[in-house]
Amino acid sequence: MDINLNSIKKNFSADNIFIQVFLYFSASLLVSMILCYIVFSIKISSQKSNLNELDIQIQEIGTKAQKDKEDQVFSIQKKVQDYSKLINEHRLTSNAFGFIEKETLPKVWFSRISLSDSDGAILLFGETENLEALSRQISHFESNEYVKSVDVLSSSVGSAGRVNFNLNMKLESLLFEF
Amino acid sequence: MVFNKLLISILLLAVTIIMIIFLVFPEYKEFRSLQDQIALKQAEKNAKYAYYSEVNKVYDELIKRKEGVEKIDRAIPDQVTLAPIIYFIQRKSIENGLLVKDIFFNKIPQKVDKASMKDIVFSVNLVGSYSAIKNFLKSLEYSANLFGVNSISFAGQQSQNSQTYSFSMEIKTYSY
Repeated sequence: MDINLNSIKKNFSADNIFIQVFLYFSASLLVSMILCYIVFSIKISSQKSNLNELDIQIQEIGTKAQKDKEDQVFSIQKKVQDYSKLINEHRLTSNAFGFIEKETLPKVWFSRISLSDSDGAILLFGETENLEALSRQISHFESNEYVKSVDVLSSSVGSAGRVNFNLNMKLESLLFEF
Repeated sequence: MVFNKLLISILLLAVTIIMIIFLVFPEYKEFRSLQDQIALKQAEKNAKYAYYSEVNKVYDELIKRKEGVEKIDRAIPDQVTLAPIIYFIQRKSIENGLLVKDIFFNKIPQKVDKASMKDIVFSVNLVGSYSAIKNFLKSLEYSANLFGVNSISFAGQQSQNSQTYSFSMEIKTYSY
């Protein structure tokens, strides 16, 4: 009987310690949560003011003067792009004249020339002393690296034995480059 | 006494849990969300600052290269003006010994969209020598105003002293 009483006392004392620990733990948890709440509230308020400050700073960066400069830069940039595109596509039609002068054989004369820049087509109206000269001229054009194709549209022998002809030639775009 | 302590402990724990659910956790969520927003705003500010610094740098560079920019402005004018084109053709033809018979504008762009580049296409009929037209063509091709020759045709006219030609050209130039 004496042993049982001691055992009950011991159990009671252990429960009491456990409840006390539990009480302190609960109390400290509550205090720490209150502290956490206060800390978060302070942080949030400081973050909100930071956010407002950042918004103001962001708005200050793109001022009207800066936007005007930006517009000018974009406008000039576009012009530069357009200009370089045009320069790259710019073709020298006068090169075709030099080419015709250089590649025209003796006893061949051209009276009319019609040149289209878009496809490098050139229409030549001319006269040769005889058919042999015309044949040599066509063969000379055909063997040239700048000539894509040569078509004889018409040829006719005139009264003095001279040959009138029309030629249609397609020239390489390389010929028209700077 | 022990029962009271236990009850108080349970009560405190319950209050703590309620506080976590309804106060601390929402605050924490807001704190994290604001933290993310600040990071985003900071990144936006840095990017905007870097962007406008670059714009300023490019602008200063362009100011330094004013001559080049003016050259481009001359080549592709901001407005469609026909008078300078006619004047230029007249002047160059006289300089090269050619006579302008007529100028006809085939395509004049409307001033609707200022941002895109437009073509101005015109035809010129000229009379003169072969060498004069060659020089005229070269002066067009190498001029600061950009001119492109779409097509050219000419035919000879034998006169008493020299051979003159009738030239017909379709020329293209550009503006905004």
